[in-house]
Amino acid sequence: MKTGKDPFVPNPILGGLVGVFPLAAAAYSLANGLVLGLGAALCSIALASLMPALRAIAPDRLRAPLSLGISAALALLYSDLIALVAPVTGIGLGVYLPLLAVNSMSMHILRGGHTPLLKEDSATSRMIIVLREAMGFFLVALLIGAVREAAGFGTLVFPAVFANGARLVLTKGAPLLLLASPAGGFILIGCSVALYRVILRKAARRIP
Amino acid sequence: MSYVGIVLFSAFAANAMLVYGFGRLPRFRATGSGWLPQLIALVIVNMLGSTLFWAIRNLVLVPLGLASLDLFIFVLAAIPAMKSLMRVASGGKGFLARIGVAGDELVVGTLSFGVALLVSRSGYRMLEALVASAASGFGYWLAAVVLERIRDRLELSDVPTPFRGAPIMIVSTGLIAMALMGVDALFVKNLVGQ
Repeated sequence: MKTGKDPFVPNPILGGLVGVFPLAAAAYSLANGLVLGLGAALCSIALASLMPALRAIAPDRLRAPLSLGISAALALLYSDLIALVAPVTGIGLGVYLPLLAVNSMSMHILRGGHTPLLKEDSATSRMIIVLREAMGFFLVALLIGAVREAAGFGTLVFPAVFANGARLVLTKGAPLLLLASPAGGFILIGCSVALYRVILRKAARRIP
Repeated sequence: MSYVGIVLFSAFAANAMLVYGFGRLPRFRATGSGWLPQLIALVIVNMLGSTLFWAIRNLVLVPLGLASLDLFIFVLAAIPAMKSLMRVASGGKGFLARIGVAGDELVVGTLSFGVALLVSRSGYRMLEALVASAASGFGYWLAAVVLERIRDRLELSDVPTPFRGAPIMIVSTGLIAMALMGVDALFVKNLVGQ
């Protein structure tokens, strides 16, 4: 096994199976994957930044409900932001945006994430791990959305706010429409998790 | 839609796990509380969460023009109450304690929140929301039972190494979801009428 200075942080989706089910159901397009991945990443970073302050002020009994309240407030803020900048995607995602409050990524951060891996438990090293996990979540959510849209609908439609709503037609018709459904999402993510395990084995890495 | 239609729609056509992706990979066997307490806990938590969410949203926040704060108020007002109720139940004896333990785990999660959000935002009346949330809990439980049976079979099968464990279970979830794709809202309406 490789031993480096930094602990190995597996991808939260492919290695930690965090947020697999909502992604399988909702991330069926590039825009949805981007908005969901970005939301989960931003909420988890904000939560991780606010938790030390909450630990310092709130008594133990109130910490859990307050942290959940902060998580809900962040999810609602993000939903409102998406309703302003990408209303069509926001409407399409429906309940999944407010659900960022309790999605597995937020819960994972509230429970301490991968910080038990750290030898030195400092705020900086904890934040670096959270940033790496958030980035990993965002990239995989984006990739899953892009692959499902490309294979399912034969197109790649960029959200209006990011690329002026550009629409890339890859093939005529829908080559593998199943991938755009939740069933296809589960199958794709299951296969991706297996592929990730093969890659980790080749790289002599182990999921902690 | 009739109540039978709502039950069929919520349990199958809009299955909380296979269609909406709420919850996570079931681990009923790992919790060791048994099938029946899990089913009762799922139904109770879903009904309680949805009723409270529906009441907070439609009776308090919508008249005040604050409907967009529904989740925030629900988290601060209803979740601690539901958690306390489940803790009291889990402190009891026998069957009640098993329901309490199972329910305590379910209160905070995408399943109870997702079902509550869905039923209170879909224009159901209170009784309809109650029936829909109970049926959603039943539908989730049914999908979880089928997946647990598949897991039992797969443990005896020669699955390729990278697929062992979670990956093959996620693929299996996809195959079960594919089998349910034929049951949609139109199918339910044709079956039971409007």
